[in-house]
Amino acid sequence: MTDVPYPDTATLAGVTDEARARTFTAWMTAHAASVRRAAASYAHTAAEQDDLVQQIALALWGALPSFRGECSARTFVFRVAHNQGAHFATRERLRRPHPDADERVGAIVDHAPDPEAALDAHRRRERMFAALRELPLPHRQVLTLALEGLGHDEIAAVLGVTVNNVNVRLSRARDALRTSLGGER
Amino acid sequence: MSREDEWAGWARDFQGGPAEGDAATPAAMLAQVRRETWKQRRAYLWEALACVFLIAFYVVMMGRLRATWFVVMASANFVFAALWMGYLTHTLRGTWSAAGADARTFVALARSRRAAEHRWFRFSRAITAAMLLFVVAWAPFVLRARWERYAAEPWRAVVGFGAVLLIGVAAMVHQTRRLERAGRELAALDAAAGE
Repeated sequence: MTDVPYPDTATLAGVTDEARARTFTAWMTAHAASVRRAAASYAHTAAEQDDLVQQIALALWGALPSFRGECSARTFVFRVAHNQGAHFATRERLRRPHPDADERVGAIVDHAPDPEAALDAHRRRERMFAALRELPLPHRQVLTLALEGLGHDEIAAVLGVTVNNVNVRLSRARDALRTSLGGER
Repeated sequence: MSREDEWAGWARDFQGGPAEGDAATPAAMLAQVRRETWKQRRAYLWEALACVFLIAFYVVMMGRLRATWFVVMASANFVFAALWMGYLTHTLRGTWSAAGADARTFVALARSRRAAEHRWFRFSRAITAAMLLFVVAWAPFVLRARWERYAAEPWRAVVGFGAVLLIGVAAMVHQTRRLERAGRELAALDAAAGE
């Protein structure tokens, strides 16, 4: 056992439990918002998103010893998150084909001092995530990763596909999202 | 609007939601685990109240009906309530609170809660099956005791026994599905957590 403090490129195979915990905490903290957004692109309600985030975290914990430094920590975290998201989406499609409309909208946060603008932004975000969740899984994954700011080669590494495939999927996904959002903007 | 502007707008909306950004930090997840403790306490309290209600019902009824068969049935229910709460308490041991505030605590607690849920569902299905078997075994005696009434009005037998059978089978199907789901979730969790 070796004690490696949350590395980004070194292998994590055989590290101590303490080093694993430190790495886990550092990576989850660094990518918390992205993981939350990934969960929101798969799960409808806030409670389901919480559960999925928990599932992603546990999966990341389990996957850490398999990290060999062959990709960045971000790529690794996103790969785990989207694998878990895909499992969740598959299970949910079988369990509940069409969620209630009321469940889709989370609690509206009052961002004073401009609540109207905040409400408008909140609605746009809700509509964006609702539209993303309606997309086919391959389109949804490539689009959310691109919207996170990942490059095409990094998206390809996360999803285990070729860059060419990412280009094709992304082009179709953008068209689908535009249609879904009613061609606005 | 250009494609670039469109993309920038989408990215802005995406990056801005859905939460305030820190909901996936280990600290936030531990807070979620603590919230789940309250849900678990509420569920435990409901089970306890149901048992208290059951016991109170039989105590009151024993004051009115002093028949031996009723005393035996009441006693069996007291034992059942004690067994129910005892096993629930036993199953939930070690799942009430997070001993620490680090990642390992979170992982261990999340896993132990799922495992406890799975054990509890298995137990409650076994109890349901036992109750169903008891009712099926008891049915001929009820039928014989009330034969004249049922012979005069067969619909009473059909509706009465049919309803009990239907409820029993529906409960078993529900419990089996719940158990299978919990089993799948636990297996997925163990696979994900590398256990």
